[in-house]
Amino acid sequence: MTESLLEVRNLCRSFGSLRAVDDVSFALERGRIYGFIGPNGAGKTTTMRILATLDVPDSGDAVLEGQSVLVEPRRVRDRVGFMSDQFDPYANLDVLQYLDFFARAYGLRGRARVEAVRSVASFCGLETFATRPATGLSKGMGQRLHLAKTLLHDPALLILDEPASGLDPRARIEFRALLRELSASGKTILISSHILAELSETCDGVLVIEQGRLMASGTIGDIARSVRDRHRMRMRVLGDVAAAERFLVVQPQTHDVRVVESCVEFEFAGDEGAAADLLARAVGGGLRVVEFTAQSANLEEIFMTTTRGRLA
Amino acid sequence: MSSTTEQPPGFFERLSDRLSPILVRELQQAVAARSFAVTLGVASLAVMMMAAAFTWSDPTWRTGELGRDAFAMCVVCLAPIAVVVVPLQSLTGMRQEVVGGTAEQLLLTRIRPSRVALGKVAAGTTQFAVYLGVFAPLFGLAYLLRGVSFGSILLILFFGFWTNIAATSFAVAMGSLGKRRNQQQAAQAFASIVLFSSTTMLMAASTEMVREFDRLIPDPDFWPIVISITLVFLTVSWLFIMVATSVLSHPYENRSTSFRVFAVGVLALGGLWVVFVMDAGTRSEAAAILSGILALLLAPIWLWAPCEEEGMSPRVRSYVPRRAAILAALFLPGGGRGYLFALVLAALGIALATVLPWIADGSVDSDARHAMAAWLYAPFAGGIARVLRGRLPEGKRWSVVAFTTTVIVFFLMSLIGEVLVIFRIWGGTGWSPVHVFNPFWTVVDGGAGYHAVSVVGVIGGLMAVPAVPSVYRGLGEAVVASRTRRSRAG
Repeated sequence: MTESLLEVRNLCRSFGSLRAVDDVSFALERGRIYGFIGPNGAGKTTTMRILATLDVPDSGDAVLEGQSVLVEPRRVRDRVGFMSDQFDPYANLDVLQYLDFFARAYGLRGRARVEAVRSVASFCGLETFATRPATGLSKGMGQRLHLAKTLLHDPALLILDEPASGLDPRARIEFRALLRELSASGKTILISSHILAELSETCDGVLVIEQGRLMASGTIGDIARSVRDRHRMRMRVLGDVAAAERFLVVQPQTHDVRVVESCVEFEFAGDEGAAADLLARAVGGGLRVVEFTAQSANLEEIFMTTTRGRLA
Repeated sequence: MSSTTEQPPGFFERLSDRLSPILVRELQQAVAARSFAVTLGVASLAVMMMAAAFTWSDPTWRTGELGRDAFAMCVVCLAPIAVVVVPLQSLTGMRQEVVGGTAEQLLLTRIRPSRVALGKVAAGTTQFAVYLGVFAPLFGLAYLLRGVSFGSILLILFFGFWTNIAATSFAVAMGSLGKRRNQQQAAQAFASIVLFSSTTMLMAASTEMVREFDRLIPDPDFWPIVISITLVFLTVSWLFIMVATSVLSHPYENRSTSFRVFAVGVLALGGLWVVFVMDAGTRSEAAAILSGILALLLAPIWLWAPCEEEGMSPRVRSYVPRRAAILAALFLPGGGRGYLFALVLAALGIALATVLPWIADGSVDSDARHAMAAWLYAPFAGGIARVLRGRLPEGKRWSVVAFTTTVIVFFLMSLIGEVLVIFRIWGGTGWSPVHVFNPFWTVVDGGAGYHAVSVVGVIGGLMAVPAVPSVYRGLGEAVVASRTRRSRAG
């Protein structure tokens, strides 16, 4: 079992009568990427700001490597990198000067500072833009600079609030690659985004929040299993597809059988054992099965199933 | 992440490591900014033109008037730079950081809000020093043309720096204020009005100021005056930097302690000023007047302290000193502790007016009664504020409600008192208990006898009674937090 980096316990935060975060608890493991999804106003940013020590919960706590965000915010800040959805670089500073300033602000000195700046600039692909004004970068490069600034003090946990919004497809793909590299280097990443397809390709786990409440958490597969009692399955056979369709229609636990191109897709209400039995019966019945798979869970589907579009 | 091996950082890189990151960044930005180059160019051009004009003008330099005029012209040119150009740049920079969220990002780094504010002021002063360098030839010319002494030039440079520090601190504080756009615009407009009107006054008074500085140097009161003005600049700058620090700090961080330390620090500075700057003949009078003035000037601090929420936030609790918890409690946030702080501050203020001159000279000025009257409003008004706050729900805005309500109560009751006297319903000439809510009446009448002082004192004492439980709870909380930290450390 992987070691837990962050434990969030019964976090609550209200703004007047609005309960923005309502008894939220979860844990994040080291070296994993977690997607934080929910409708607008669900409480994502508030939760992230609490974890980054920029807000304080009314009750509950979050503990990062044994340090409470409430009691030891300064120690937590040393281990957290927060990339907010707002990025407004200083005027009249170039990219390296901007990074150099934040390196100084994080207490890096001398060679360590110079190395840190060059290292993050290189990692984020900013070397060729080093002398460009920080305010004159494209959106994609700006986000890279924002990320580079967040990485300067080598945080263990990265909290990224909508980092991909406004990026073009190429910039998104490149940004995703950066996140994978960071995860591979042992950093835990909590990322909120509305681009669910993006998250499903990047994240190891997902947290779904709505009206301030955590609706689901875990891997996409786990959540998919927990939120629906049927799996969409797919069978491809050599020869007569219609025969396969006829076979499946009469089987117990199968529903909504459809022929899609040369395959048959159907809803299956049984567990893995029942699926194995079904396959055995199909083969025993003379069907030449070449593919029998459960279709991978769709994050959009999970999102739509677990949330109801309510605002907190 | 890849790393590349490059040359080690040079001398200036290493030197800059020792400077505030804010200062380094501000200077980098300033040097790269077009406005800096333009202002510097215009200033250099102005200096050359003025130098040429004064050099080739009518040789009235033998009278000394020309040198003085040249020097006054320097002051006229430097005043807008010190009071408008540099401070407004700092204000704009501060405001952009707050609006753009960078100020919040800085909270996540190791830079404390106080260093942000101080760094901005330091950057402003450094810029001003660069401009002064441009004007240096004109200072030299003014000296050579006679009519102005070297001492005057040094003095004006000294006060020029202090003026710039105070104006930049004010601008930084104003730039940090306001969460909404209209609040920020109002703060900027207010700051602009204050800075522009100040520079206009300085420019208008430049010739007279130069003459006064020349007269001041041989004056026996030279040092007391210089020290007094410097202390005023220092206190004002300190206050504005503290305001900016408080606004930039996270709402859940400790925003009270610095103001409480400031209030005590100002009283201590006042005490030192009385003892070391004032001569024996005027010491007791100066102590009494200063104490009375400080009671009024520090009123927002001693009235706000009892209005704070009673409990400490977990963040504040985690930084309670492990030793001397009771002493530290006075400076820790919380309404109960705040009321105790107001009492202690009042006691220190009264001591400044009475005990200090008595120890120094063996006499107490009759004006000390005015000061006592003023300070006795701390337990009185603070008590009302504490009782009010105790009845209101939790939340910082209710502290504002308690503070404002207390001020309104005093204002309305003063008005009612005046009406009663005007219509001869109660009271007559001189102070009567209907004026108890009117501090100005009480302070003025304090000179006539101890009647007013005693009544306000008794009421202040009575108001302290309902505040006792919250003071007790406040002290208890500090002691428990201190013990907890001690046991954790142990």
